[in-house]
Amino acid sequence: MKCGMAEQQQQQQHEQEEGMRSPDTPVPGGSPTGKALSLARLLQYECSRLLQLYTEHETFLSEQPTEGRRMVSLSPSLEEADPEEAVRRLHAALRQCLGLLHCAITRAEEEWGELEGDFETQRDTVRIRLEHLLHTTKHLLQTDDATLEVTPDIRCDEETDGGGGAFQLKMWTHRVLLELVHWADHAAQALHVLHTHREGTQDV
Amino acid sequence: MITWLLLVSLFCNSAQDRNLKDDGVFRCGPQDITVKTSDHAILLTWQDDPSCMSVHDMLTYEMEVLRADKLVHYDEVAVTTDQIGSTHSWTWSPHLALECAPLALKLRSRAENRTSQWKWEHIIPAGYIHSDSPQVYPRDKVFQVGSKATFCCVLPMGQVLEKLYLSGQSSSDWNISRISNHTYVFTVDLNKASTTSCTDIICETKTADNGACAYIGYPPADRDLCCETRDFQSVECLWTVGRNTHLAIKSPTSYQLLQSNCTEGSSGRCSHKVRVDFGERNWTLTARNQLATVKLTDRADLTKRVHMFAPREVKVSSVNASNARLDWKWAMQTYDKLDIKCQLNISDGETHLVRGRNGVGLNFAVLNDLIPNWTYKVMIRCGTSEHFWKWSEWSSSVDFHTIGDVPDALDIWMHVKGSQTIITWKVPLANQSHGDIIDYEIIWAPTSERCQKSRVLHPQNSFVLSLDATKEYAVSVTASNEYGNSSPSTITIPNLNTGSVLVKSSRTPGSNGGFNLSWSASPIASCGYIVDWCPTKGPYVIDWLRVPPSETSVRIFSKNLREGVRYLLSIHGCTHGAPVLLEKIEGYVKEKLIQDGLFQTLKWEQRDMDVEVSWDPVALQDQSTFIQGYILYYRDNNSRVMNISTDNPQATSLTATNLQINSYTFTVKANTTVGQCGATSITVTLNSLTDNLINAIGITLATIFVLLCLIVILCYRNWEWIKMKVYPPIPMPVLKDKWMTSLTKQSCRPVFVEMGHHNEAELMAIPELHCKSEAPVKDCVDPGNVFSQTTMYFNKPVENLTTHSTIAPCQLPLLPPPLSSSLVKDGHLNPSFNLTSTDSLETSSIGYQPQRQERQLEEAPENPLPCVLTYIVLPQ
Repeated sequence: MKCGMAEQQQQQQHEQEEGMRSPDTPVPGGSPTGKALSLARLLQYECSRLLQLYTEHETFLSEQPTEGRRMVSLSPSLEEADPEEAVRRLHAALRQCLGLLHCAITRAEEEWGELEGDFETQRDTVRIRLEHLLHTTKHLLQTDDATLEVTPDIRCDEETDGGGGAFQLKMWTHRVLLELVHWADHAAQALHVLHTHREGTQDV
Repeated sequence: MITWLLLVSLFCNSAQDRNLKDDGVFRCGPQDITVKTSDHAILLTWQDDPSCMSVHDMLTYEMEVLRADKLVHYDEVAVTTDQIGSTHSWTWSPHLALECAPLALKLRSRAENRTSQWKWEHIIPAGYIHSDSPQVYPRDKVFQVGSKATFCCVLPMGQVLEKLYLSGQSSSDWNISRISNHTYVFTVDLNKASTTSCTDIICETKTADNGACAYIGYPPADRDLCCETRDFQSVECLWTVGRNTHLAIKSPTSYQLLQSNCTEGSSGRCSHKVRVDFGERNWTLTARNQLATVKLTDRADLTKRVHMFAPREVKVSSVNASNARLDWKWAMQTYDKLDIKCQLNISDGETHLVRGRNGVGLNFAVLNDLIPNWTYKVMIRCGTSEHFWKWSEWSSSVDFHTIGDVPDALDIWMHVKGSQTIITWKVPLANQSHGDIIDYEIIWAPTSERCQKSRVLHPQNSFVLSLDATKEYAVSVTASNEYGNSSPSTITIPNLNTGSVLVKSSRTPGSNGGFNLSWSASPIASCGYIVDWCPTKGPYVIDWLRVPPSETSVRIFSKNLREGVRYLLSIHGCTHGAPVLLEKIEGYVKEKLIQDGLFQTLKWEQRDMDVEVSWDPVALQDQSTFIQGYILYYRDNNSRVMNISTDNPQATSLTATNLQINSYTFTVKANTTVGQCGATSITVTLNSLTDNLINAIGITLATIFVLLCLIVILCYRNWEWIKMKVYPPIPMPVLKDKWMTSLTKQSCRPVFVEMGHHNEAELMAIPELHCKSEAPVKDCVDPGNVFSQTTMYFNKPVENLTTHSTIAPCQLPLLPPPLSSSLVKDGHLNPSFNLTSTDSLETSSIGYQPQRQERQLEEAPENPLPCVLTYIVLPQ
């Protein structure tokens, strides 16, 4: 039943992605980079929505600072890399984000069981969308010499999620969501640059 | 000897005392002390110093707990002499989490008013003040709503507390205090259960925030345990689950029945395999969460608490028009020996009927009194007859359709309208027709006479009869379908000429869309009452209902009843003969104001200085309420409004008196039970009386003048004709010698002169027609009239001639009127005499010979065709 629901959810998402109609987002062309860009923008919107749902639920988090120490970091800076290298690095960052999200889901289910609310639904949507974006960027950057991985890049342990009880899990989950928003924003920017670079158009 | 022994004893004691009190210190104390902390508790274990073996009295250990150099707890552990030498332990659960601040434990012994040195132990939380963010304790602990809880916030080195609070709760219940340099304590009354996953306790410093989760909820509150058996092999207990504990995530309530876990306990149901014996015993359920354990007990003999499983494999067989057989099986073989009672729920989509059956191992039932050609849904549930406990669940339902049958007898009624009697009946409902109705047969006959028949096709439901009003008729109607004819329904039509008793009509108010009628019981209503009603406004559909003899009231309600329409209701007594009218009632379901413009033909007439305003009687169909009278409002140009009214609802005029020469607006309104309505207005201007007189005289004079002018013109243009009439020329008689001879030749030729300017030849030709014997012509003028005319204008002989001849009377008008007088007078025929009036003729004929001749003719009746000798033939 749950598997069936997940498939249905994925199908709906794919249908949605075909149209690529995230709010206030122009629809790029049908090129691979255009599709990847649309996907990144959709993820950007959905991550923001996920964070919003979480802070509505855990009200004290709304007062927490949104900028802090990065959980996922890349070096050297993206600004110094060419567009393809920037997307490659972002791909790696997004893999770590996916790992963090997997951990957040696992730890929440351990702590509170399998809940079925708006947040949990949106969280699964983001997870599937992120996986889809990783596959898309993998195909975008695939060469004969190198193949990118799409699996989560972080193992869940106390060091990862902070340990220390349910409150710390909430705080840590909040940080993960902030990280998702951050890297989804960067992904959209980097893919925009790549799309412009490859397609030679600004009309996106 | 005894003295020696006492001295030895004293020496030994003094030697031991020297050991205990060596250097003035009490050496018996704790040793090998271990401190363990677990689940917010401290466990302290120790052993006695070997020197304690010499203590002969109770040994007491004193414990002191210090937090931040402040005593927070003191306790004692007593050790009896036989326990000395064994390991001792002490546990303590501080109300504040152990992580909140370091604790110092002091332990010493006391005996014989002496105490040992304090032994110190320190408990320092891991990572205390070395974290980079504040730490809140306790974490993830479960609290009961309404309890008081204490939390602490341990600040990192060098940080200052900004805020310590509980999310979602009012700050009025908070009490924050500082217990050490780094620890703040926060005590709060927990009044609200956690609505989300947990309640947050948050500690904020300038540089970092942190917190802890608290799960606040309720202990189990389950109740009303009740145990039973369904299969004699297990016990099944049911209970009412208490309110939401709000601890489903952290500490869901677990249930145990007979020390076995209940996996579905949260649904309030748990079963357990057990041998069911006779006799009462206790059945215990335990509900537990981190806050409390609740035990529910039910004492019962399960053999008297059998909750049967629902019958299965329910089947319907042997379906007939009005009965069917139902079979089923039991899930448990043990039920075959039980005395069982069952309920059959038989429904047809609209109604539900429950019938009972019982028997040992009951597994079938026969359903009777079913409606033919009808679809049923049936299901069954059962229980034990002896020590009935409760019904089983309903079995799955089974549908079946009964076989068709002849229709039920019709409900017929009659309605007299003028000279016609309308026989009407209610079209059988689906549950009365038992098949598709084809037609209806109507048979009617006066009592003890040969009957007449007629058929009408369905769905027509009335038949019009023109009956002899002087006779009493019996009318019967039957309905037929493919299975045959219904039994006839008969009604007796009374003799309508016997002068039925005049029944006065009364009125009734409507009530909630219908009528509530009641009447006096009538001894003649042997078979009850029939109440019928008919609207006064189309469609004129009569409806009725039957009331049993024991009842004298009824509520009439139908979706067809309309507001603002007058209904004529009649209450009839049902007798073995014709129904007897008992009461007539008029009423409205709801009276409504009549719309303006009710009086379409509003007329007015001025009489002197009065004005009579009149209208046509208001038809019943135009009355949407009872009219109680009329009001005439009249307003002049000065907007003065006056009125005059009448309480006679039959009135058709009202007169406004003493008016002025002015323009008036007259408005007629109906005064009804719901107010004045139906306003209709006319505006008139009154004329003065002098004006009217002058007008009348002027019109009269003008009319006379015009008439005189016309007369003069006519006279002038027809002067010759008038002159002829007034002074006709007198013809000279012409006498011939052989006029008698000539007369003889024309023996039977009475002379008639026709009016107008006919010549002599024409005049002579006409009598010949009358002399011939011709067939009478029928369909003509009334003979009486003819005779009267004859009597008036002709002599008797002529009359006799007419009577005895075969000439039809209708030919008589062809005879020219008054001729004889003038002929007698002058002995000539003169057409101009035709213009003289009858009176003058009669007057002038007195003494004339032809009149005398009349007598002669009477004396000779045998001459059927006498010649009128006195008639003189005009010369050619």
